[in-house]
Formats: sequence, C-alpha cells, structure tokens
Amino acid sequence: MTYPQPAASEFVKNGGEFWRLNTLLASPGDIYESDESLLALAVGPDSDLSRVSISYYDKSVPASLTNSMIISPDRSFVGQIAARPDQPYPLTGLHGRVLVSPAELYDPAYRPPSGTLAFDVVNFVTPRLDVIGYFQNVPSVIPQRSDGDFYTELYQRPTVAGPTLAWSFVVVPYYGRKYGDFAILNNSAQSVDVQLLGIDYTTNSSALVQAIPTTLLATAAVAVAAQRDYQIRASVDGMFDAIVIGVRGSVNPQTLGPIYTTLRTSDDAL
Amino acid sequence: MATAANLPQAASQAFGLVSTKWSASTLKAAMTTFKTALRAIFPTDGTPAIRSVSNWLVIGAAIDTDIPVDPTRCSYITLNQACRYVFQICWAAENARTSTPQRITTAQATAVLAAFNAAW
Repeated sequence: MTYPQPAASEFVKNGGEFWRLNTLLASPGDIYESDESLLALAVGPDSDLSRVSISYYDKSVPASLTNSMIISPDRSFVGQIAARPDQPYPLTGLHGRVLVSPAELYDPAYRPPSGTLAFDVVNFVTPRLDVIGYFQNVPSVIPQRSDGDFYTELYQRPTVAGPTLAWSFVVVPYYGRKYGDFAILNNSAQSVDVQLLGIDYTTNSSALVQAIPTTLLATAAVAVAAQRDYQIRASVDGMFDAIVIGVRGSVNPQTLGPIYTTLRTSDDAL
Repeated sequence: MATAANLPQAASQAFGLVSTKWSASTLKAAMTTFKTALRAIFPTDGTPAIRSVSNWLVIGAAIDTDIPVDPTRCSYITLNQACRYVFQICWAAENARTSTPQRITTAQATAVLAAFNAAW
C-alpha cells in the first residue's frame, strides 16, 4: 500500500467504525495523515514498529499549536483528537490533520559489520506500520501485537566475485519485542557459519558505525544437517530495533543451498 | 555548510551536522533557516502526495519552537528530535522523488537538498 495512503474520510463515508493504516514503510521518512477526528488510537496487531508518533492540532500549545504523543503496544490513547482541517498550522502552509509517523528508526542503508563488506549481500524485511484510529467511543483499547514469524529457507547468494567467505545477511524488525526464538538448520551440502546480532539504528549512518550492534550469537560453524538455536530474552540480551541473521558458506557461497531458519518474536517476556 | 550530494547522503549526515550546530549554539538559527527554506518549497497545503513530505513541516515547526533561544537550555531530547526530523524529511523527499508515480517534482527534491546544504 504505502502511498497513496487510505483516506480516513473514505472509511467514514463507508460507515466504518475505525480507520486502519496498515502499510509497509516506503522509507524511514514516512508520514501519514488522517483528515478525520479520532476517538482513540492504538498500534495495530500486525505492526512491526512498536512506537508510533501522533501529532495533532492543539490550540493550547503556544506558537506551533502542535502537540504530540507516542502510542505503543503498552500505551494506546483513548480520547478525542480533533483533526481541525479548518484551522491552519501556523509557521507552515498546512491545515490541521492528525499526523502519524514512526517514532523508531529504520535505515535501509545499514550494512552489518564484516570483513567482506563489499561482497556481502544484505536483505531487509521491511518494517510494517499498523495503526488503528477509532471513530466511535471505546472504553479502552489493549493493542496487543501478534507474534512475529520470520521464516526462510533461502539466503541470497553473494554474486560479486570476491572472497569465498562473503556473508548473506537478513535484517528482521524487532522493535519493542521482548522475546525471540531463533533456530537454523543447515540442509545445504556444505558447512555454514552463522551469526546473530541485535542492532539499534543510529541517524549517523555515514559513519563507520551505522547502528549499535550487540552480538547474540558469535560466528559459529553449523555442520551439514546440524542445527543451532538461540533464545533472545529482553532481560538478558536487551531490546533492539532489528535482528541481523548472517550466514556464509564455508566452501563456496555461490552454491549455498537450503538453510531453514525461523525467528519467532513476541511482546511477552518469556 | 553541508555538501551532501544527494538526499540519502544528507539523511546519513543528519546526526553529525545537527549536533555540530547544537555544540556551536547555532541549532535554533539553523533549524529556522531550514524551516523557512522548506516552507518556500511547499508553501501551501498541496495534494496528499505532496503532503507525504510537507507534513514534516508541522513537526519541524514544533521542534523549532521547542528549541530555546538560550542554547545552553536546549535539551538532549530536543536535539534528538531535531536529528530525527532532518533524517526523516530527507528520506521522505528522496522516496517521494524516486517513487512511481513521483509524489514531488525533481525540482522540489533538489530544493530540499539545497535547503539542507544551506542550513546545516
């Protein structure tokens, strides 16, 4: 979906009781709008992002007349937020609307640290933003997110000729999650190395350090038909914006075969 | 003055350049310069497509008003908000320029980059 976004007014015209913005992020700079007033706001069940910024017209705020809040799976907002399309925001040429944007960073320019940076391949699971705005009074909203379930059997093979041991990385959103269950089974014809990082993005991605990395599983060999597991616990490992799964073939990365991988994530601290 | 060659590069320089202005106690002036230049690029409400970038002006104006005139009173939280705002509007403009169909014109995206380089 991304853009054009669904207009909240269409939901109202169709007699809907809520407006749902359920979209993959088009970029780290996404911002969406509702031109309809809302009676409650909550993070939706399918959201990868856990913290969402809401900005709205508020006459009581000096100068900018703009107020904001952050909603999360732990904190929805129940109460009227008037869109006020009749009122211009001062200092801009824009009129009143409820604005929705990620309060967490996402950087598709991120490259995991490695000694073979120029030859690695990096794939991103694009974060999904899911927000629900209600047009009717609700006594309370408990915006529990669904568990996440990333699964792959295939890692993109490094295609540029280079060192044998180039990495294939997959970056999976992990915003606000408190538990992750990682498992990898090597069903290829060669031994593979695997590593697992937790990262927090920075806005300083031109520098050598584009994110704060935490090693969850240091580079470890997984023999043919062997398996590795790791449980990510917020109380032990911390909380991260994303989990980086790295795999490389020990013989030839260009013949990397099926490698079954799952990463199940949950908001519950198991 | 920044010399980013494109908007992703500008976004990636956001933290460094914004915090340099903060250290030099010129964050308020730079934010105001950036805001004024952006408003000239997006002077009106525009279409929903254009607002996928210009809505950031509302956030930027709010951050600008939050930055105290006395630079020693500017908090880390406000600094962080300013960094993220610059990072995000640069990415928004780049995505709007490169999407199909384009949501803002190439000239508007180029002007956002020029505004970034002039302010930061």
